[in-house]
Amino acid sequence: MDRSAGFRACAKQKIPMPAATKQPVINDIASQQFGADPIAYSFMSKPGLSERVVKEISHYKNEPEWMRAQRLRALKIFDSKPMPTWGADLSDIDFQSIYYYLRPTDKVAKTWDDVPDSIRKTYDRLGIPQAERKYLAGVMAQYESEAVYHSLKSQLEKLGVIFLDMDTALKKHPDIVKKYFGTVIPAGDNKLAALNSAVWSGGSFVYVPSGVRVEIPLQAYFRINAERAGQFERTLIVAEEGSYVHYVEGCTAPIYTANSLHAAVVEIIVKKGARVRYTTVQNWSKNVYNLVTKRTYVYEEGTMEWVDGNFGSKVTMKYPSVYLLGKGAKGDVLSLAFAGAGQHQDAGGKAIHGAPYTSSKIVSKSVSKESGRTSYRGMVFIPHGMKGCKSTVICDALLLDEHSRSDTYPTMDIRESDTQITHEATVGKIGENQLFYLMSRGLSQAEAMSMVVSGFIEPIAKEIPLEYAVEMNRLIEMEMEGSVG
Amino acid sequence: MKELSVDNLHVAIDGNEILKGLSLVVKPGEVHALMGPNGSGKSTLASTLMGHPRYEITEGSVNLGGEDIASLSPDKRAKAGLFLSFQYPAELSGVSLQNFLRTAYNNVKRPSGNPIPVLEFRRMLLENMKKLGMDEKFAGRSVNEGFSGGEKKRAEIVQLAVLDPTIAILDETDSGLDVDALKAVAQGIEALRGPSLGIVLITHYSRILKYIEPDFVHIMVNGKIIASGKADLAHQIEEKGYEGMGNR
Amino acid sequence: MSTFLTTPRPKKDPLRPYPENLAAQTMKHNVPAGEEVVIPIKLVSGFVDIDVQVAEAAHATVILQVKNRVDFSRVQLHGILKKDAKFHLVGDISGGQRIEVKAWIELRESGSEAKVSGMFTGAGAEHQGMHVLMEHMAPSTRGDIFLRGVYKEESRGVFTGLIRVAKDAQQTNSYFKDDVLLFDDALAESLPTLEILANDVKASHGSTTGRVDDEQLFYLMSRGLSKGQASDMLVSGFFEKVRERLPKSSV
Repeated sequence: MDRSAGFRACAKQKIPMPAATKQPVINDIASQQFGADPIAYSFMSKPGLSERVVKEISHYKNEPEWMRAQRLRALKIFDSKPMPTWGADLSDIDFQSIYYYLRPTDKVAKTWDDVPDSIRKTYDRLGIPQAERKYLAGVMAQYESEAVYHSLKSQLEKLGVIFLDMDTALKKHPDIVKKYFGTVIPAGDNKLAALNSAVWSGGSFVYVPSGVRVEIPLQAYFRINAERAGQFERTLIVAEEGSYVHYVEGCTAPIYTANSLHAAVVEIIVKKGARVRYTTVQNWSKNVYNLVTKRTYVYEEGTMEWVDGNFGSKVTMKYPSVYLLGKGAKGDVLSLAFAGAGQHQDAGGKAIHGAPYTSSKIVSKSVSKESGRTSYRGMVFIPHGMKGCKSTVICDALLLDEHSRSDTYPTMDIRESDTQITHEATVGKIGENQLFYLMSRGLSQAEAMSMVVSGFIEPIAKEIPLEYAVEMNRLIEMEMEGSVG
Repeated sequence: MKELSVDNLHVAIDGNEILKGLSLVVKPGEVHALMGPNGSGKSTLASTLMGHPRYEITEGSVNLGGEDIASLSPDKRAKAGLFLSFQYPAELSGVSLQNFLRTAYNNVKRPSGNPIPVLEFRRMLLENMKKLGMDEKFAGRSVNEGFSGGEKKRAEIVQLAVLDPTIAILDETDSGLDVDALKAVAQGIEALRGPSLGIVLITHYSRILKYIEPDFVHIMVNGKIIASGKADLAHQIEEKGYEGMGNR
Repeated sequence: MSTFLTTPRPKKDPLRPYPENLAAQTMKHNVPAGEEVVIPIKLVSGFVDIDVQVAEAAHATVILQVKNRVDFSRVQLHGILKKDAKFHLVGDISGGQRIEVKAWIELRESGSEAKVSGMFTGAGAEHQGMHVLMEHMAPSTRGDIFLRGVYKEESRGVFTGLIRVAKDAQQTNSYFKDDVLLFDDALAESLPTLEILANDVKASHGSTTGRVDDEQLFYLMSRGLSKGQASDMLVSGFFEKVRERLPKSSV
């Protein structure tokens, strides 16, 4: 894949946005269903959440009754749950001012001039082609690359692999979707999962049959012709026995969106002997609240690997979890977090050992600068009777200056004596000796700092696909330059 | 006569068979060198003989002095007169060498009560440490913690001297040692050699055999003994390597 | 005493609740500037609040011990350290239906140092906990918390820690380490947390929970120790690492 493929990847992740002051133009398909109101779907295209909005969304998508009923039940749960009082500060979220659904047909009028300077500079620095910049910033219509998609599509069909956007999957494979949807993360799990369950749209559905190994990573951008209300994506991955798949989502280039809430849900089922790796690189613009629930059920001898890179957003709360439910199951969570001025990355991982002889590993590396704050939040739980389990947690944090902050909040709840659990965490700054050494060899302070930071995150960075890793390094360099006075 | 008799031993770990029918008889007074390439199962044999819980005997027998020891726990085997010098001795943080070894001595050498007085034991310990060239201070330190490779192996032989077994299995006692340490360890072993001690000297290289001439040499490949002979067999290995032996 | 600041706790308290109407008492200790003082304290039933002021360059050691059987006891110790003051809190705790030690140590002025060393043994259905909040409020302060517990049968241990380094507390070094050995059906919860707002610091924590190492057991047994003897020797060695830190007189 060429160098800029990563950006084309991002290009596919377009999030349709309304201009703050303009009303979206609505192409009506008039329907009498909602009574005398001549403009159909009038609620869902306006900000605010209500039963009516949810009904319209489901109706517009032409969903089966059971899905509509699930959405409405979820809405009730959302209304009844309080906001979490732990974690980051979510007090600024105004649920009634958020747009919950926008159809791709809704035109968006905005000019390049509206795009914030910082975003434009980043595109510059990352070397994104002009055409793509406008696309990423939502200033122009989609940018597509059919050829790659079609060849992949036929390969996957031969293997029996299903890879569709969630809405299409619901239509084409309702039985499989119904079987697994909401089984790993039910609507009642937490308030944001309930919200997602009520208004979800888009996201991926991946189904890999028994014994099939998908050698090329499946990327979110391959889902063309899908609706992209990216903020409430719902992803479901089912890996049958002995299968393997690597799914990649995200973008190192900042996605600019006026929509400030991203509440996604990712459910993954790893059956006996199967292996799934899920890589995310997130760089939402700095006005976004990124609140995601990600969880896997891993069965006997199965392996789950979460690779999670958090660079953007104003606030991220995300704790990829592995529930190890069969003997010999393994789960890894590798989490990277960068917090610059005004950002709070509250991330980590959870490992629940629901079967004996299971093992988990959580590695978290975070860097904060200026007024940025990174928090590691994690949980390792070994219930009674789960013998022979092992868990290792390593979390390291770098504070680049005196205005940054780092916290570590781990929990080890161990109710079984036949076990081996270790947890280590360190917080510190870049060593003066290291900087001096590098600078004495001719590197500028910014170059030296970015080299040290790259080395710091290397154990996780090396697990991220190459094209993302290259862009990621550039991003880091940029951040370092920004922080050197 | 307490001889060690291993007959058609099959051993597996995690379901994989490592020893595939190994037989060996070692009498007190004899030194048997056991040589073989990496992965041949030498350490598996050592651990199994001493009763490591992860190794499973699937077939065959292990007898010491005519008594079946295959079902005995490691401490009972020690009391029966068996000793293992580990290739990688465990580090026991907070457990001092002298306290631990005195307890072991009382268990193995004074089974019917009448424990050895503390000072007497310390004298004996220090004497043996001196013979192996180990500084006194190691007696009060945590067992093997922070010890160099050479110090760990010397400490193993000190324990061998103190516990005075009938059969001693030495698992790659020569690996990782520099010239001086090797000499000290080998001479220490040679000094203990006698009619009441049988030794199984497991080694990958034949360096240690320059100091200790074995009575018998066995070549182990792929979980079995494929050749046995006298000391000159070791020289053949030096010349031809293990590959050269495989085609016998 | 005004609000006692404490550490983040598990959502659900795994220890049995205190009974109603426990006696309460307070103790105050002021250690004058430059003095060296050892304060042994026998644990008693009930709630005990201990206030310790360590003046400039003073050196205070508080040793909490269980001498007579105690059922329910909770110690809340608030230590305030002035410039270059040194403080060592030692806990040697066994037994109890619920015995908890909460320590809130404020390193208010530069150069102050605080150490906490804890040895906990639980058996039967005993419940114990230790919670240390180490607050670094000035530059060049040091914290060193080392807790070890052994829990057998159905006993339970909870260890929580919070190392908080304020923005101005540059050049701080602070560590928290807790290790728990579990046997039978015992249970342990560990919450070591960090809140670090200064960057020129070294802060770390480590936590291990598990059972006695098989290889170490095998080594000792191969030298003739029975399983029980080997286990006891390893447990004794386990605590030895904490004992090494204690002032000679208290061991």
